[in-house]
Amino acid sequence: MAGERVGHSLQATALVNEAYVRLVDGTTVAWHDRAHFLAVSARVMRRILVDHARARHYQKRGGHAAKVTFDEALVVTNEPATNFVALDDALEALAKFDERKSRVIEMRFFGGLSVEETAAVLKVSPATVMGDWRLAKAWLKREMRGDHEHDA
Amino acid sequence: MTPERWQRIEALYQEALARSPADRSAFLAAACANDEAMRRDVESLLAESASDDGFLAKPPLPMSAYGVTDIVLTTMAGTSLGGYQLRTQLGAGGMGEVYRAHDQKLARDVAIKILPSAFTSNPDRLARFEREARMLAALNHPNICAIYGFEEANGVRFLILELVEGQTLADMLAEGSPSHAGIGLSVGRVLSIARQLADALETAHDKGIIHRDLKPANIKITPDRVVKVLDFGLAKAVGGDGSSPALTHPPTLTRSDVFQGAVIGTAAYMSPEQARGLAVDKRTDIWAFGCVLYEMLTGRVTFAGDTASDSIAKILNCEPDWSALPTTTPASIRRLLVRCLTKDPKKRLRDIGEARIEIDAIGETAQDATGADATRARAASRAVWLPWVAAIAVSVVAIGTWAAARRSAATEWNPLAGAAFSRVTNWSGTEEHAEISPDGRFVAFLADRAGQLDIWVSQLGTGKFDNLTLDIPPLLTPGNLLRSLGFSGDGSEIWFSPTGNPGKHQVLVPLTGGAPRPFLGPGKSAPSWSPDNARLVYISPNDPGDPLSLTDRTGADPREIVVRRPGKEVFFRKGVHTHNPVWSPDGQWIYFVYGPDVFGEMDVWRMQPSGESAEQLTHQGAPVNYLTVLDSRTLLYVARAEDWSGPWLWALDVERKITRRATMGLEQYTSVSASRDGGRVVATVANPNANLWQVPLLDRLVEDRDAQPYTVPTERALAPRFGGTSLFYLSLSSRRPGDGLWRVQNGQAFEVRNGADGVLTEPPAASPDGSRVVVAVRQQGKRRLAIMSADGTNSRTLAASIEIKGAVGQGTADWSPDGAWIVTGGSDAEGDGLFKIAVDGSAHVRLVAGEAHGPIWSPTDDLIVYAIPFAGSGGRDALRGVKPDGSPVQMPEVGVRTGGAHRFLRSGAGLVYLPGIESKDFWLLDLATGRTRQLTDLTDGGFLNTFDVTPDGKHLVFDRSHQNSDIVLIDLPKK
Repeated sequence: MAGERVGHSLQATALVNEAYVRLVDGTTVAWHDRAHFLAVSARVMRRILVDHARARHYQKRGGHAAKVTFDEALVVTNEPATNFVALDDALEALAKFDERKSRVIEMRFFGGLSVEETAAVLKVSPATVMGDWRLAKAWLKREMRGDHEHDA
Repeated sequence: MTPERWQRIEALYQEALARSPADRSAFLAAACANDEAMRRDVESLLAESASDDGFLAKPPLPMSAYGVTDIVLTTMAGTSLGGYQLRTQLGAGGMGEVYRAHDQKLARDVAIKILPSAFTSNPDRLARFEREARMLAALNHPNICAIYGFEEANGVRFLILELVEGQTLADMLAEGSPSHAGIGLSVGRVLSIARQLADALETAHDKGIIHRDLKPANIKITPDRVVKVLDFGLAKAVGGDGSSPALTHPPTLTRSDVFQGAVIGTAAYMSPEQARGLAVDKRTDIWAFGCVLYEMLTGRVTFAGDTASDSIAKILNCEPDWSALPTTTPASIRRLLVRCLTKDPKKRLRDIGEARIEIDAIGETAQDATGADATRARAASRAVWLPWVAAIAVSVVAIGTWAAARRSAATEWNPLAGAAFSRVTNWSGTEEHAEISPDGRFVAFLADRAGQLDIWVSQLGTGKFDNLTLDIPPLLTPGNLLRSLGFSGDGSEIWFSPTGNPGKHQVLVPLTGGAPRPFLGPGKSAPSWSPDNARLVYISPNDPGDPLSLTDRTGADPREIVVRRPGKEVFFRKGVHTHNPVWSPDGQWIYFVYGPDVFGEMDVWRMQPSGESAEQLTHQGAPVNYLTVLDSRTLLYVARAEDWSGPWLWALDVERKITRRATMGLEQYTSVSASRDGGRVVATVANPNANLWQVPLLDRLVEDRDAQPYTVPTERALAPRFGGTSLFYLSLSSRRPGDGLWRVQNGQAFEVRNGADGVLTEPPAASPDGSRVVVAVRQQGKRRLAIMSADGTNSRTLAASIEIKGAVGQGTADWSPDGAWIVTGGSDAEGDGLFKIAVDGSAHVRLVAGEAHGPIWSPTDDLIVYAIPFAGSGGRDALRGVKPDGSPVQMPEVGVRTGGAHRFLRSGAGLVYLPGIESKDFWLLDLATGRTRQLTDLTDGGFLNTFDVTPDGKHLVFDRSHQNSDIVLIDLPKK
């Protein structure tokens, strides 16, 4: 995780610009409501952060495949650093057998949606979202540490 | 991991979590006796959950960070910012995004402009902005959008602005000529707008404030045709000192400009000196004024170019195309345009006041010309005026309107002008029917704070409230329209109707609390004491026409007032209604509300206590209520507007017999009451909202936890009706404060019919295939059916001879399953009835004679069920049945809510209904057995208007609305 500590504090304006472009760019998405918009924003934020993390990953390894579109004038946030690449992979794995929990994490973490908003988007109760959130976090933590013996 | 195995893991995990930590191992060991891997899996997940290490605890970006606000704020509608509740986004402009918001402290609607981080994150720019904003806030002019304040909350900086309804001049010009191909506004209209613009600029320039970014998009025209200039001076506040706005920094750059890579809209109105990056002064505004004036007259952008640099090249080098000006353009206006659009600022018109004088001169000429023949001859003798005078002949009305607007602006009359508004209550839930004591010291109102509607009393200013009716059973039902409590003449007691039915006994209860005592006899209501406290006038709502009677102050010795109007029919008679009598300050007049339909057509009248000189004072033709007297010539009341928007607060000048809306915000006023000296007023302000919810139709009783929001794309939604794959519902219109018709299909919302074309108050009736929809349109106080395609096209009146009657919400119709017929209750020349109308308009058949509401047509095509008033039971109807061929069908005796809130199950085997006006719960009538069963047990405090069964027949979708009302105190300026 250490490698991500500085690099992921994306310059906020750059992120927003990128997110805005991605959201409006040729989109025909009809916004259902505020929660739906946030849900889609969450997906976009996730993609941007993860793409950026992967790009840096390549660059460190001398790769030139990905072009970084962000202003590298980065600000350092006080948030605990997160390994976005590992989180993204784990979320993908989780989605394979429990799509909803994967989306709960995406919306609440990447999108900053409240429990109620997440519940509204997923059309489930807030209690269900809380249950999903707790279990999915536990599973992701374990998965990202990679020390669990997978049952085949 | 298979989904099945994961489900098992999840179930065990949740079950284990529900147990105490000590019991978990034993539980899991037992539950996973045959699956050690699963036990370990669950154990490890539990262990992960036990450690709180902040994993994913915070979003990767602080969402309130300045940079993120730009995107997050797009979605802020519905949230709160400081003391402001954000409603809908109005637009994204150069200086950030603008929201309609509600100022909870001052109980008014405002616009909130959220500043982008770009300049709030820079302390120097921020400080400068604050200074500018303070100066701009001092700019107080009716044609300039006011700045109320500049605040910070949640790390966001925002301006609080006057909320201006209406469309921008840019929209208006684009609408007038879709191709912008050179059709301007009428000359009269242009002059009216230009005059107001000049006035606004003059005032600002006098204070040394320059707009710097005047353009059609920054000019709004309210529905009352008042011009409001937006963003005054903000270009400087945002852009720096304004002395050197380089080309790289045009006055405004909207986000859409940026993303379209063009700044045409902005560059086109820059003055030559601005375009060159030189110092600017008020003459820059005069240039822009010229550009706007030219564009209004011609419908063309003065210096149009495909790119910003094209525009700028023209600004610097080319003359406007003067030949594009309409031939009707007055010569003096042509001269004015040339002077405004002179490239050298030294030779340009020096003072916008000169423009105002020029325009006024034309206005006076026009007025003369519309007045006398002699004047017209004089004007015609001046050759230069000939084309203009000819134009007058066709634009007399426009000019006349404009001149009248000027005159009324000069004598702007609004008794609430300069009043100070403050909030008395800020409770959640409903507060209504606020009455102020004669001495202005106490307020009494109804509130549901203690669960039921009670009378609460407060001495104004103390912030202390007493529940006067704590020990008295429920008083009044919500939604009661008429004044049903008030202070006695000496202010020591409060009268009210303990059952909520004004026809029953009135009661007086001491202001200081204590046992209530009966007052007046049964069937008497709405007492009002004369100013000398010697006499009392009241209504008798059980008698035809609700006649007025006079008694002494105790209620003894009553005498009905006989209104003498020689040659006219009897005044108090069947078919008319009277309520809310109040006295003039000198006791010489009694004002009252009178008309044929308490829910529809009422007006203010007055007469002498002797019954002489009865005369109509208003032509509101709308539900008028809460009449209250400010002074010897001024009354206030609550009424809906002609287009059914509101209710708003209105003022009546008795001498001139003129009325005007006294509040221009969007907050609704549902009651008003003035102290005896007219210096203080209390009012109820409501901000009603409405949302859709759904519950499943189950064999068991459905409870709150089964209810879920039914999400639609609009913030407000009510009166849902399904048709085919579409949901139709009512929601606020995009252009006006009144509900229009919306349709959702595949998650896309579409405004079928704008409320500006007549506010809709009844649930729509969607055809079974969803291709067409019928609505009840209110025009000139009457409701008639209109049918249109689901996209809003092909709208036409259906059965023009049938008028929809009854309380709002009853005028609903339904379709036959084959889509060939509409059934509706209403009234034609031969009287009330239930009608079957051919959708092609070819015929209508009276199925049943007599009053009938809310018909529904069975999906099995063999039964139409409708409601008739249930004798002796307010708020409830009885169900009746008829076959589509008109033969009657026996129905079980079931009491249903007045207003036609019942729907067939999709199978046709039963119908879902609401048992009464207060009911929040659905019941099912099984048509085979005649048995009824309660379907839901819901507790939400909202008011349920109506509902529908989903196309799959498995859910009910219903609306819930909340009044969100509060009491405000209005202190009027000393006279």
